[in-house]
Amino acid sequence: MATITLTVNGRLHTVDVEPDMPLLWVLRDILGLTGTKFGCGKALCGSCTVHRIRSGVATAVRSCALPIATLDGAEIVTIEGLSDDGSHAVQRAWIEEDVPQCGYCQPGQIMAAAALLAADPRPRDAEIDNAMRGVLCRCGTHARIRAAIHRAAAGGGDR
Amino acid sequence: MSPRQGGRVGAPTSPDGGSTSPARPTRRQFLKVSLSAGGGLVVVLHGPWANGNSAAAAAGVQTTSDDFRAGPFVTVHPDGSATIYAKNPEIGQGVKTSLPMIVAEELGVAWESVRVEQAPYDPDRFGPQYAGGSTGITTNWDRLRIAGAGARHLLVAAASNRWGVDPADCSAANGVVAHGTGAGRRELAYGELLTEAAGIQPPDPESLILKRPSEFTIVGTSRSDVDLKEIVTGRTRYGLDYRVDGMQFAVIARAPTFGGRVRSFDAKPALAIPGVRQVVEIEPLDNRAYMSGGVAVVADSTWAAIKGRGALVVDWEPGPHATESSETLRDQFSQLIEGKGEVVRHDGDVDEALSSAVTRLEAVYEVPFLYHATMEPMNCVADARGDQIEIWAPTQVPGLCVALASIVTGVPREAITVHMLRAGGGFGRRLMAEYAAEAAAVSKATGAPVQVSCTREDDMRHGYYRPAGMYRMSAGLDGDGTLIAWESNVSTTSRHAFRGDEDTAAETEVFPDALPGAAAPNFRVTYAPAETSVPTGALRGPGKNATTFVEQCFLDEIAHASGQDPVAIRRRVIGEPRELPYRDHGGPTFQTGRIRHVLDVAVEESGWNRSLAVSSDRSGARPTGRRGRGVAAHMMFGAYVAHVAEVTVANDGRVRVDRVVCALDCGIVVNPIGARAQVEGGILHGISAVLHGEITIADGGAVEGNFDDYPLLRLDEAPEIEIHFVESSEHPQGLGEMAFPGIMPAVCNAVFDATGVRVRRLPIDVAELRFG
Repeated sequence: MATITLTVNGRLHTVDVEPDMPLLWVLRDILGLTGTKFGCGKALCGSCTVHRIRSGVATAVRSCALPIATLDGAEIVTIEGLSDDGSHAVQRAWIEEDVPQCGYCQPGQIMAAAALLAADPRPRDAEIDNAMRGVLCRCGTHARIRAAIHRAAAGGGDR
Repeated sequence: MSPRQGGRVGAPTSPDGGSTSPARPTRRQFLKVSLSAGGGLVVVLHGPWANGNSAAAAAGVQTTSDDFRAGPFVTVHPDGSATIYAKNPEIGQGVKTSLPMIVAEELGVAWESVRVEQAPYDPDRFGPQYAGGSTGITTNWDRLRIAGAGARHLLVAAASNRWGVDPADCSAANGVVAHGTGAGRRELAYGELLTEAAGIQPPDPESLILKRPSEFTIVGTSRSDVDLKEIVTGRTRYGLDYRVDGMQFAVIARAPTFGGRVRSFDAKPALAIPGVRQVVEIEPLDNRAYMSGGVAVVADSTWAAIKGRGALVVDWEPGPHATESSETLRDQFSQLIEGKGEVVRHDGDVDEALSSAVTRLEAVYEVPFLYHATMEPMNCVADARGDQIEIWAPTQVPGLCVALASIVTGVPREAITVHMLRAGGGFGRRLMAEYAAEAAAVSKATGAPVQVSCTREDDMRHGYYRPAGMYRMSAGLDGDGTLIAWESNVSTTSRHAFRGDEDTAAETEVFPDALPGAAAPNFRVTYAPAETSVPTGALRGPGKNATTFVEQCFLDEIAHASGQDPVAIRRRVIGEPRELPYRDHGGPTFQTGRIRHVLDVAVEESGWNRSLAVSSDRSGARPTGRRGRGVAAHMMFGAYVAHVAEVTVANDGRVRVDRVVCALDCGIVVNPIGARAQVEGGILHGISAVLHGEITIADGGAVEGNFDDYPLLRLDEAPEIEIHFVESSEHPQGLGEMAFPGIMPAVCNAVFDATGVRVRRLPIDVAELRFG
């Protein structure tokens, strides 16, 4: 067992878990934050995408393949912490464009899009494709994801 | 420790295809009205649900009476707002929004004042509850309109009584009953009328005046998914997100070969993993199709369960099909398509017509097993402590969950409750319910609530795949290029045969009334099921998702062999507007005028006759490969669909779909933005299947295990999509499955147009398309 302290959505947590437990299962089964989804367990589908904050910069990471032992002292933001009320520019754009079908992959899509826009406020299609191809959607919301990212970019991707 | 096995699963067929037909209220129904404890007006539609019993039976439910109580769908509250139950499971197809829209339309309230609640599973109250066969809208349209219109009738009657006027002179809209105009206009809000409305004799449903389509203010307008904000904030609870006090987490070790079973196991290494609590064996059901058993590892977290299973040592009895492979199946198919099948239909004399034909073609087509790949893997929460069972399931068939949980535990069905959770995709996979059987069995064995979940590898290697199959096609044309003979000799791994259903093995695999074959005066279809242990099930557009590929590509071959344009030959086969008999799901007739119209719309909107050179891909970059365009058109579960696809085939053989134009006639469109989503989804699902989809079998099991070896379509592969719905006041049809089958032949026909290489086996083999 390992004792790990990390910040999730601005709150400090100390967890006592197996050191190889991926961040995903710490979030879901230990901390009760089920907004981050399991899809593949091998960083292939992106459903588990969260932000790791370093020096104030958000990077999209796949939580299913990130052992908790590597995250002592880390700062993580999940879909629950992206905004209190769905007011993040990307969430608003997702609502305006009616992106989801089943909705299961969308927290991962939104976190990946938010990280993209934080790094590149005006991405072109090719950059969107490149940043978002790592997050699978089986329902076929692809065109709406592109449109929503453009909308969020035009509205100013805050954060 | 093993759970009790209560008996053999009968033959609960799934409502996923041929046997399910649209239900309409054809017999007498009546409305009943009451006040709820909170002062709300509750309107209940009583009476028989036409086809209700057969549909319910298809979902695995044995109804006790013909007299369904349907409702309560509607509660009107004193503040004028309304609660409407969403009766069916939501799997991403949008019925949690679109079905209540139908009620709200006739009720006469503003959509913004409606709160939608997911109904519990209770078919005595709500009628058949399942998601299958794209039937949600089409089978509930009439009954939900009656439920809404009945409530409106009572509220109007209450207002007209108070005013002493003729109700026919009153109107109702936005939650207000009104009478008169100008200065004489009077209004009463619904919330002020509840007590009086509850005292009025409910109307005969057949006397209700339903709105004309031109009066619709909600149906036909785009409404966002009622869960939209919950989804984008991560608050929606899917099956995997459900938690019960004291719940444990379990994964199951399943046999590496289909048909295998546990010989013995050593639990000690698993129990040594921190967090692992118990290891229990789950016996397969007598009919393994419904649950194949294994060894469950139960732990404090999903991760501990996965690690514990990794340490578990199981000795497996491999079963009778341990040497089965994709190659052995192909050998079987190759023999079975040589005329050894059951003759499903034979018109005229095919042999004579083929021997006298001026142009004669033969070709063999093949389709692989396909995996559903719902983004949320199979899972279920069950609490089977005591003599009651509670189940929380992302499922398409809550009734089958009840039936299977009852069989594995011995608890009677009446003591089993199923809560339908929003599902992270369905596509037909959740028409099976082994997850509910497993969760109930594990919870019963451990005496604690449990969540049984699949890793991606579990889900992919233990699926119920779209059947694989082989199709020997023959056609003959006369000197005018008229199709005079068509023969399909088909062999697949029938899902009916897999489940041991009483229905014939051919029923889900061939559609002998479908064009183009049925247009030929000499026409024969034969079918022979292959012997296999590979599990198969319904996948989006079941059966059709194979036959449409084969038939629409073969028709393209016929066009090219006889010097005809691919569109022209389709118009010729479709012929004059008329009604042909169609005995499968979507019938009873096939309306050729409607398929002709969607074909014409797709052709026109795509610019079929314009040169492709003027087209460019999404980024505006000049295409660097060979470009081509292909078409397909067919009837799918009562809707008429045509696709035109444009592709670029790179010199290394990689296929990029640049643009898709799709025209559909599905009757009235209830929620346009949701309808478009279903069509977009079907198209991208089909492109994913054509480019990437294949489960291969080796050593009696599935080879692929995750998205590295079973790729799905990614964002950079998604084309431009243009969708055209035909304006219609015809009875509405579903849309979840309609756009999936036809895109596959449209893309393959476009690949032929670009390269001259005919794709007869899916997925597309890039090596065959290399240039230079």
